[in-house]
Amino acid sequence: MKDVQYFAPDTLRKALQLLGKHGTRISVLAGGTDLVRDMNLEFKVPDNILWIGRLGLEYIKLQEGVIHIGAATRMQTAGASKLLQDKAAALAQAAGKLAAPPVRSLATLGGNICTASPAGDTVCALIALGAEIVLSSAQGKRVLPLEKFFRGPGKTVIKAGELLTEIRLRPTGKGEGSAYRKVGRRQALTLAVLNAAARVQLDAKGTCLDVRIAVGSAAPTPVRAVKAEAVLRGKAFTAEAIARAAEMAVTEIKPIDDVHGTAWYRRQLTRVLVGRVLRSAGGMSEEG
Amino acid sequence: MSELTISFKLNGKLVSGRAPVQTNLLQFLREVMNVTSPKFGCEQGNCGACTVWLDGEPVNSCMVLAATVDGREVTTVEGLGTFDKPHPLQKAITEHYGAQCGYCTPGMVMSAAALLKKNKIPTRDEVVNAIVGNVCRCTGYSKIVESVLAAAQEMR
Repeated sequence: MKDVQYFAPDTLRKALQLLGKHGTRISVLAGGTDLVRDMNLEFKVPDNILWIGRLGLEYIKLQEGVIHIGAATRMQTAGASKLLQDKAAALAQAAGKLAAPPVRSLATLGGNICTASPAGDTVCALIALGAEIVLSSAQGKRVLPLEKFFRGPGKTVIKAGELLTEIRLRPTGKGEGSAYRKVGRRQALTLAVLNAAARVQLDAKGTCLDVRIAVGSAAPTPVRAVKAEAVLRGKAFTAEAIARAAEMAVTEIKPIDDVHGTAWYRRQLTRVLVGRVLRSAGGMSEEG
Repeated sequence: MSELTISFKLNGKLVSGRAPVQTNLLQFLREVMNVTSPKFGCEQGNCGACTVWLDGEPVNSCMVLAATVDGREVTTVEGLGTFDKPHPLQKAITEHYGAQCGYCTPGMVMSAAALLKKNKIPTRDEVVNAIVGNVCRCTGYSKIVESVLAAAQEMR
């Protein structure tokens, strides 16, 4: 059996020092639902493990108009958060239905992001919400939009010595809403065959002031459907406009055939789910 | 070989044991603590047979690194009730034929008992949603759901 070293620091400062010291030879352990599974199956047994469960990184708070979420916040905590249910509904929906209860009381938002699966449930919701992430290191920190974080399946721009510490997003306000929907092979404990999320802001006359759309499991990274957004921005938010935007989103993905579903089916799902999340985020009947 | 000493509260009693760093909580409970109710199913969080409570919440013990449990609290079915004084859910499972081969039962009980702590009057859907992470390959789900609903009735 490999000789693995374990660290469970109780301050962020100590954690960042350890990360800086061990570079690529240390793996961050948060909820363990990816790392410990990989260790069990002997896919990956790291030389060093840094557990971040004692750093106080589980919190959700509204400060000066911004929602701050600690990277070690668990799915169950996020799904049950009244603040997120009211002001970031897409995220509460994605976190609250991810996998199953025994997974949700372990898995963290930061872990879902850093695993960088194209199917990540909360990642899709967070991109639609316009989330930013904070990457901290012993040298300081940098903030970047979540959608700029991913390079491919399992690949991100995080550097050795950096730790994802916080997620930030603007709460939805008046005339604004968000929604997340997923289709899997089963109702629970399942990878998304396709997932989609949207954030929509309408004025009193029903004009779309702003919109963000994200689609997951449809390309090597989660995709932001910017052309579909452009179809709606500044226009009347009507059933016809939503249908045109959903058709446009299909042109912005690069789906593949795999064991979970075919590329053809994923294109059909993109049209259907983008329509549903737009209607739901815009306060209309979901089925249109 | 790096071994760690891990001390925690197991079913209300302080316990301590040593294991290599990569040991998961399921292995630690079964092989070091000799508590064998949590079952080995998939070791990847897909079956729920290893479900225990960590600080009162249901978790897949196979995906918990045992080292991270140091100083915390773990509960298994042995901590829910005894043969003479079973938890109402343990009693209901026997009375309503909620166990067939029995392999999924300890995990099923821990997931469902976690629901009953928070929700005294669960609907059938709420019961189903509480045990979606627990697979029963005998497919005896109806009797399991009936057992949980009966236990909830009993506990009121």
